Amino acid sequence: MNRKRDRLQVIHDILNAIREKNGNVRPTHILYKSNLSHQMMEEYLGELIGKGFIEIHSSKEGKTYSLTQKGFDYLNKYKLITEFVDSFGLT
Amino acid sequence: MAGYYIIPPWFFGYDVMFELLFAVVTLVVGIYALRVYRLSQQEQPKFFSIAFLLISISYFAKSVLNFLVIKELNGPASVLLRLNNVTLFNTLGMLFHIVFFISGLALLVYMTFKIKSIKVYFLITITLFLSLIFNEQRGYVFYLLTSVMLIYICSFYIINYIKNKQHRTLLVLLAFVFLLIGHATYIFAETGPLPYAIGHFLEFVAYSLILLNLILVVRKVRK
Repeated sequence: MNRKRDRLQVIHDILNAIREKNGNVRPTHILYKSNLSHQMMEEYLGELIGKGFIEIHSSKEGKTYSLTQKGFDYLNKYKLITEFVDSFGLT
Repeated sequence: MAGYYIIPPWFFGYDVMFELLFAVVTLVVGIYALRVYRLSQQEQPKFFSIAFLLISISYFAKSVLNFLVIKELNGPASVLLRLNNVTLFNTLGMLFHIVFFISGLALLVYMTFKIKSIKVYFLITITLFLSLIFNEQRGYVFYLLTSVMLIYICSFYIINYIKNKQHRTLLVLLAFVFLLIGHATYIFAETGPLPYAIGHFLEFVAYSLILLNLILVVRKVRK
């Protein structure tokens, strides 16, 4: 498995962890499901917010994350993305 | 002068059809890559998409202007006027092709660097353009430069294939190898009629393999 595939897979795992909980997921749950270091997870979450895949919600209880439509689309079309990326060597 | 080539009489007109076909194939791949980029927001599909769209424009321009050359040769105007127009269309066709093809191919080369500095891309492209602007034999130098870039892209896909051992990566590698041999053949297109036709056939094989690869991706996704 190549590096890009790993990266796409990590994004998939994070988004999937949020979807499984029907949105509004705490960072600790994402950390557990994505199997990343805290620093790496923060970087990924920052990137995913920047790219519009997830939204952050702040409340008295702390931060939670939910999927945007773009995040759902990523999960639904994940196979298409990885097949294309692998086939054309976009690693 | 942007460059000229000797076309075999039996191939006259077929080149336009081939170039139109290359434009359509690269357009389809570019659009599909754009879709993947919109879904994934990853840099590599974005560059791949823009590169193929630029290459598609380069073939469309060449095809349309070569069609105008044929139309002009069979037109009712005086020989002198027709000759002037043919020279103009041929020069414009080659110039558009050179500008867009170099821009696209340089982007593919940049993509293989895996660095996040678009300045590098502009540096490569400007250097390539300057080496063409200040050269009398533009057609010859253009194919020489694209051949060098294609050697680099092929080496990237060879390493990729060695790492992954996937049949589909091999298809893309073969496609770029055919494209490389095709462009290397065009270097001699000013010396005789055959290289021009052979170059088109080799490009046809290359783009057929790229299209085949895309079809395999779509089929696998639909399963």
